[in-house]
Amino acid sequence: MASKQTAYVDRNTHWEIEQFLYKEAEYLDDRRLDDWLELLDEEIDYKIPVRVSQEGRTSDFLDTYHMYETYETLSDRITRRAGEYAWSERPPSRTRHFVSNVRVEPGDGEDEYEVNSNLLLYVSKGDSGDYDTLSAKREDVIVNTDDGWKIRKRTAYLDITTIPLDAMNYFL
Amino acid sequence: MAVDRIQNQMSDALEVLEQDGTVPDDIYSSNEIFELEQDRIFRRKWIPVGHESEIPDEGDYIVRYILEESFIVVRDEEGEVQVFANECCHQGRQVCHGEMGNASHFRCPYHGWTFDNTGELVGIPNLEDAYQGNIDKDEVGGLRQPRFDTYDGLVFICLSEETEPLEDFLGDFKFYLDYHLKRTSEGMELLGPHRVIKDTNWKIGVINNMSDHYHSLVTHRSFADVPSILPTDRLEEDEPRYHIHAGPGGLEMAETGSWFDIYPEEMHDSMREGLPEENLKLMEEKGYTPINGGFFPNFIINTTAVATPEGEDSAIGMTYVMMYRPISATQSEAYLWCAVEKNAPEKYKERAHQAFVGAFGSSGVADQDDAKNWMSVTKGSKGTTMDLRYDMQKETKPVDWDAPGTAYHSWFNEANARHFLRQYFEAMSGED
Repeated sequence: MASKQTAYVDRNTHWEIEQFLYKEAEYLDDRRLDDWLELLDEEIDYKIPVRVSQEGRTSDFLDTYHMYETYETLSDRITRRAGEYAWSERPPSRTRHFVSNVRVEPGDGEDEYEVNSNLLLYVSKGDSGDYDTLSAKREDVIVNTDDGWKIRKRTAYLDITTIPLDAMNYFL
Repeated sequence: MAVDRIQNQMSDALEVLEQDGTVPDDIYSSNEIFELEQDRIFRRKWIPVGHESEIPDEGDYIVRYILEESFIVVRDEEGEVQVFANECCHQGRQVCHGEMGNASHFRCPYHGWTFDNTGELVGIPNLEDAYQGNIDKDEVGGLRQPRFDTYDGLVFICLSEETEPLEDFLGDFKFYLDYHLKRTSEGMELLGPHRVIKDTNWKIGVINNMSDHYHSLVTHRSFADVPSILPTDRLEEDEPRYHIHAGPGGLEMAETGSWFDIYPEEMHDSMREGLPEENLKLMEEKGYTPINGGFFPNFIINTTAVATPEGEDSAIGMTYVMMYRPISATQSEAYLWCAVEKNAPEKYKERAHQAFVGAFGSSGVADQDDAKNWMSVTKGSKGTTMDLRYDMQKETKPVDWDAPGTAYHSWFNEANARHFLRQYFEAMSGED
């Protein structure tokens, strides 16, 4: 029996969305967070669920989130970080978002796409040689609007259960 | 012998604490001191490991740790909470492999010995061939059961038989714990935990939360920039504050008027039914409400008002719970939960949860700036020892107080820090 066929989108759309995700990563890593915010739809639903290692249950995610954000709370987090008193980011972390395995399928609405990608985040802080990494699968809903591509929904499923960083202080 | 030397140092430190209110900073990084802490504190005191609401149904279990030792906290088929060492009684293989799940039985993957969720050994494979019948299952016993007990739904383990019963250990702090965890007729449920490994000594955060309003003005100054996450007015308000220590714990209380303003009206009756009468009386007659607190050795709790939801008039109340598991002298695992009233409206639960995530969870803006302090103190305490000051308002006299414990009427006071450290040095020097 044939497995479910992947519904491919045209090459150009795929390419544009891929470039959009790379641009997004660049904004995050270059700390252009106001520019990053511009890439989000105002209705954005942004979540990083908490993963657990469990047997005997169907889901290995808890009903709680490392981030459970709206446009407003994301915007506030960015404003805070730009301020003088966000001590946890003084000096700022250095991050590198590696985005790969981008898969694009048509979404529910017109100009809407379901985009899956893999993410590897590298983080180093301060003057030590230590660094941390987080790996995740991202499920996005990305839309083509009059103002360009926007992320309407993002769920980042971490591969790790216990966060090895002192705080989950990064946008994935 | 190293142990005697450290114990003597701790005994001296207790004396210096009483006299000057200072402590040597190597208690936050010394490996030798951490060795002694494991025996004198984590293997002797009552250690909270979770909450009954995390295992609501028969067979639900969670795995939790004290130091490196893992324990299964399970609800058996009768609905009773049980706690077992996660170790097969044959050759010690761990029988539980997930962090949580649901199971009627635990089977050791090594040789297949099987235990039910009351811990009883119910199966030994190839019994006749292997033991020729010369083994008595009852005599072998089941999974090893440590001392455990619960209070306000919190599950505690104590690895010593000599330690006093849990109720005695918690003593007068029970009154204050009830404010946070016995708040409605149906009790509280904990969402989470978020688990984060931080490069911090386990004590700093607990001391901070029990006692330190002073840091809020500086550390948490960025709250003013995040109105959708935390309200801006809490730092500026000049409501009278009290620092109270009772039993193993300490907390801050504020004269806020009424607590009920920050909870949906449909919850008020249930809150009045749930809270013990004495708690309610103090709150309603004096307008005192508890804020942040914790107890020795590793527990933090905070009920606070967080941001005003869109379209509503007042801030909402939320409670978070945190426990530290030391990994080494300079590294700890933090468990963070959002505690909500079981029978609260779904909309309120969701908003409280969202506020927890924004402010106090693994990505919380309060937690990350706090963590930065605690990690930095830990780092700074390595190397040459210096004395840290916990002498604020050391000479201030307690005020009359209509509830358990010793109370100080002040915004800034380190009496609760000294209360934690006193217990710490007493335990470490064997003077407790």
